[in-house]
Amino acid sequence: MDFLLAALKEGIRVDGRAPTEPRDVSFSFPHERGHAEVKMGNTRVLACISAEILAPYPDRPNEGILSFTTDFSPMASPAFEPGRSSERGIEISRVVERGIRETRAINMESLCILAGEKVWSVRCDLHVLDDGGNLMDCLSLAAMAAFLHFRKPQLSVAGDRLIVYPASLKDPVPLTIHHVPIAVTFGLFTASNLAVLDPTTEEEAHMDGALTVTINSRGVICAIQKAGGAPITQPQILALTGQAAQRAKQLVAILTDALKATGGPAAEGEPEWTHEAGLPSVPAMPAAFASGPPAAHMPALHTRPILAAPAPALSPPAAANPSPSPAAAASPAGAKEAEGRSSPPPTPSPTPSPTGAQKKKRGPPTSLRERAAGQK
Amino acid sequence: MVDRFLFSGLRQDGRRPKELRLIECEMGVEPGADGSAVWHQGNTVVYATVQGPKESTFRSRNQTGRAQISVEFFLAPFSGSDRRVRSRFDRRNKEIAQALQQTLQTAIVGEQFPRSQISININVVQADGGVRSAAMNAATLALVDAGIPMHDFVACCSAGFLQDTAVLDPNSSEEGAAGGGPGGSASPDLPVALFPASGEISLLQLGSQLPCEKLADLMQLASEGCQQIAALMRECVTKHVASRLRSRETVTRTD
Repeated sequence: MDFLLAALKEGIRVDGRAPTEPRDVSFSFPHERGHAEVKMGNTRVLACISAEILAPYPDRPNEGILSFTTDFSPMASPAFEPGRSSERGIEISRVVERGIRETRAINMESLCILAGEKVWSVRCDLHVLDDGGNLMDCLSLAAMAAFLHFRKPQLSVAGDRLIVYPASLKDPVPLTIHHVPIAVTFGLFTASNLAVLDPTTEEEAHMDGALTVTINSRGVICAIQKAGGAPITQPQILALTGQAAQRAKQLVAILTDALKATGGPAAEGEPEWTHEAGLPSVPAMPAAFASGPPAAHMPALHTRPILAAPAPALSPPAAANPSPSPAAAASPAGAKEAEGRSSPPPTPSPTPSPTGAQKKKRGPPTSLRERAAGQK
Repeated sequence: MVDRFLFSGLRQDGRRPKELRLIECEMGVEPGADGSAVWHQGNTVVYATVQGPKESTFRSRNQTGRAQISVEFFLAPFSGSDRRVRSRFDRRNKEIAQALQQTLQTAIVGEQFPRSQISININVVQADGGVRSAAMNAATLALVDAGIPMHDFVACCSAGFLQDTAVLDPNSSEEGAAGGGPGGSASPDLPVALFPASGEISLLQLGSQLPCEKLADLMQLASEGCQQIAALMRECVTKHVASRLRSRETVTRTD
């Protein structure tokens, strides 16, 4: 500890970096669309984006829903306790969330499908895999990388029906992202009067305070967090903000290159839905929006892609397409039943299940496939 | 939704852009606590009490050579415009409590009370904007009332932007005003806590978009507000101490 502080007094960091030198950053997009893993030195985090269709909040009927969860598992650092997030964890996740949500980095109106009825709910799950210091920067970078990498299925609204196109029919589309906020953290050391960029865990343990500036590549500050700790003067803050702006530009450039290298061609092509083959398909959204269930019953897309059947001719034969009964998907109870099913039914048939049939009588015929089944 | 906040240079509540709300503060309002204060800033009312220095509640938590500050922040369910009960684990409250704790920790001379704890309880009775700042100021006065040695006062004040004009000490309707950012992001609100003697900033938080070149102006404005608040705090402390001395004098006379 004394060594670290003594070295800093001479402007040397224990890992050999200059005070304003960041660690190497690398991105990988490991599993599927919307999953991004970011490495910053020994810090490693994974961000996963998923989307489902829900009813909007009543006070914001024409905006989508954006939710964040941050998981500090004990795997990443012995300092994390399982089950509950520490005060530091709360601060980190709040700053990451604030930088993206409050600055409207993601266009929430574009997530609206039908005002007051159905919107996209986009979740961002952040997992700390390894805490090597500076989680704030790493998490916010991973979240933005994942948002940029994510694609949501295309939709169309026809009358009272909502059709979710699978990737094989229509290319999924990216989210509308206004700007890319990047968090840049400085560790403050009073004794040596230094602000070090991108502190490691050792430096975090001994620093007197920290300043995080979330800034985008256009030089617009999106968030600042300096919650107590060593006091610094106004000119120092402005100088650090300038440094942060430069660093953010660099990071956006690295991120853009990484996305181009891995995501560019795939952006136009099909997303790699890994579970597509093995999961039951759900024909479409339930019938009338007004009478439809308000709550979520559409499964999350990253685990259960929704296969739509826009026309009967396009829908594969029942044997090849192990789907739950169409009526089951048309009623909330049926949808629950479909979700509860871990594997496709052994002998799928278009005949509605008894419960589904009972529910069906209350509403008009729902999906085209069901109508097709009736015609048979 | 109100879309205009400045009318011929005046704000909705009649203030000029760089004017604070009316501030009233009083120390020693809770006889049961070691130190207490109430801070009125416009319609925002915050009570703060201090217990300690005392033995740490969790002894294992503090084996350091300094006093440890713990802050509990409560927002009364009736404090806002609509009744809302927040859980003890509300993340926003926790974050504010942590910011207060980390700021006040640097302000106190903790070395004088090793292995001990100073608990600060903050109760927001009316929340009309600037809650964070009011809580910080109330906590500072309560610490002074409790006789905890401090390097300096901590004065806190926020500044924001309305229709491209920098305004000091926004109230809740001004805090919620739509800014000019893409997608209608909120207008910036920048609370600043500083040590008035040195002018050094300890707390600085921002949660919405602000062009880089405007930060300096806004920070300067908030700092000026802090200095005004610090002057009011000094005045309050002087008054309080004077009244205490006077009351003691009368006690000795009757003896």
